[in-house]
Amino acid sequence: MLNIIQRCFRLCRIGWATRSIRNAKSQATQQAAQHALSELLAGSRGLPMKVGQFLAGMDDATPYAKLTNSVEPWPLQDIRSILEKSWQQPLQFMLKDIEESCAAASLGQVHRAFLNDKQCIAVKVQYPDIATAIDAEMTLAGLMPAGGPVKTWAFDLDSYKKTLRDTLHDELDYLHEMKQQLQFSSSMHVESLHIPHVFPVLCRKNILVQEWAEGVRLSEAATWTLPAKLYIARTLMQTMFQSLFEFGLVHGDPHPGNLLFQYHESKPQTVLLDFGCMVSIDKTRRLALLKLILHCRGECHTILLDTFVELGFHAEKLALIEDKLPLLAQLLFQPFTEARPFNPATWDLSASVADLLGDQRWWFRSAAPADLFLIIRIFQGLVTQLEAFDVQLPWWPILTQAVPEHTIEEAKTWQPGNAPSHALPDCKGSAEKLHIHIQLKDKEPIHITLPAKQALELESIMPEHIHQHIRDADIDLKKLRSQLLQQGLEPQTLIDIKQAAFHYHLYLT
Amino acid sequence: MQFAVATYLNTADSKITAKFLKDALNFHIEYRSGYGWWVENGSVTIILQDGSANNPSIEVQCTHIEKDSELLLQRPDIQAVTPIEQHHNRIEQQLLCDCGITLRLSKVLNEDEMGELISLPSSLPWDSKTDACTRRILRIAPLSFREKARERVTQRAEYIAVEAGSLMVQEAHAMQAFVEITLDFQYQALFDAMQQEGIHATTYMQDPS
Repeated sequence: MLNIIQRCFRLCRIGWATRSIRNAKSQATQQAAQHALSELLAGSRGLPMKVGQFLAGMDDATPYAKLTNSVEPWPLQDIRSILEKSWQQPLQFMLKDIEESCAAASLGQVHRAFLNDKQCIAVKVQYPDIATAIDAEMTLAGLMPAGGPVKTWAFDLDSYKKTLRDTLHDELDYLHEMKQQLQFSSSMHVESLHIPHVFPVLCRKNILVQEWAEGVRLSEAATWTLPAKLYIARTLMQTMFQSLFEFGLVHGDPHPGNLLFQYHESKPQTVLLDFGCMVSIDKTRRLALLKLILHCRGECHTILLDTFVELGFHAEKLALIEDKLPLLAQLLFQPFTEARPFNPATWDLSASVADLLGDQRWWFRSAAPADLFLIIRIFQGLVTQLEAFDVQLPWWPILTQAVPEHTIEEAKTWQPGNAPSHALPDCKGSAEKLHIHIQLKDKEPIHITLPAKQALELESIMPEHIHQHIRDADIDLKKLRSQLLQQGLEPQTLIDIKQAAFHYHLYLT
Repeated sequence: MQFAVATYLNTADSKITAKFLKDALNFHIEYRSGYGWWVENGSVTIILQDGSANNPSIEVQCTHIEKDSELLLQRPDIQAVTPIEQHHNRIEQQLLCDCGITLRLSKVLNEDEMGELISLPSSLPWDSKTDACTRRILRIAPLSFREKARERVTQRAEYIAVEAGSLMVQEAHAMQAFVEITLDFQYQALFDAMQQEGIHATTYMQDPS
């Protein structure tokens, strides 16, 4: 109980530090707040550290890098009893020697050890209290955004939370991780990619044993020669493309601690670690993704809306920005369409999408499937790695080397099913945009712009607590909808409720 | 760099200076009451003022500096102060005019005039022999298109190299890139340039002749 209270207290402090970063006006303040948060996260195993690793991304230089380098590991004497209990054998029967851990991971820590035949191994041991802590923290930390645009743009928040929870639970099962590592190792055929050999007989739900891998971290490998860096970059790209488009099981945790590099003059080796967070993508979605790339390259044609829907996008929401999809697809898949080495440093996808969609980018995001953020994170990881190596390579030829020709041909002939036609009825009128302006007392105002047709869907768009205020103001949304259908969507005010605590203003322009 | 489009110039005698600029440099001149002599040549306007001259100078950018210098020096009111000299990427000559103005003839040298083979904007390592001959072959592209050609051939060669599974650009990749980006009318020049480099051009393209 005391442990849970301590975790609650720490989480409160983390929440405070996170807000400090968000609100920091100057870069110096932000840096200081980041350091403070890094300290707090580093002291907290489990979900907070996982979040910290997420913040660290692939950049070894951020204050959060402390998390991916190391936090204070548990002493060996505490770990010894966990191992003996799990193996049901005295430690000396199983191992010739085991060393103190030099690095703690988010959910466990790694010890170098030697088998009795002197083989050097890595023993990853899960923290004993971590599984029970995860669920509590999911609720306590309030890590998923719950207000502002997320709520107003009708994000499927439960689905997001479930995806995060499922991912974390998968990571807690080291036998599951072992299976994924074995599966990944046997399926991937990328030269110079090394996946450490696992020892299934020694693995348990809370223990993973694999060969000890030597190597340097990304920040050091980034100082190697250009040919070595290019070689590694190609290995990383081939690994990602093959696992994504062919294998359908992608390493989903691209932080620096999960990569090691071994220098060889002609063929530097890339060692991939930690297969706890794997993202599974079924064949239809793989073909849809490849089809979109081929479409953008002009190698085949597809109906973009239907293809995005096959990827898991919400058909009705996406239909409202269907006219923007051709340009949007070009932006999203730009690295695959350029007929030259692609420079990731000049690729500012967020800014380009914001330019194209404006406020509607939230609409696009809310139409995306919940697990898309995992795929985006994988791509972001690759782009950050390429940036760190400061190399430019053309993406498409590397994809064609990593993915068999028959898969690409299959994607060319594959056709998406027909997306269900969106439910919004045809409604004439000169209004183009629906504006939602929400001002709560002592809060920053929220202003969101939607396609005008969304005025016909106010009932489903508006959060429940606002419905109550609308009802209190004697406004009948069903009646409003009928009026709009009859009279058309013309510029007008639809709802304007102003009270001391709030002001909701919905209007068409 | 900043360019002046209109300026005042103090000269000992503005009328003589205006006449000189009209005769020697084809300036259009006009007297405007209240201002004095205005001279302009389409890109710059100079208002001449009588006053103590402090070595006023005018830079004249030339296409053929030797020819322009020779023509100007035929005039009795112009003397050479310096010979035609090269300074970094330009050649210059200073001429002193009787009206007190120093003319600075100048010409910015292009990469061919400087005998320079500009580096390729590469992302991959290039085989050194291929790199050198690619830079030389690029000279078949007219100067005004050279920069674009250099960029396109480099990017295309690197794409072809990666497509072929290599991370270093070799002769075959570069020559293939040349063949792909060169316009039909320049095929003969490309063929000849390859041959001149000791490359068997027929490996990559048909003999246009």
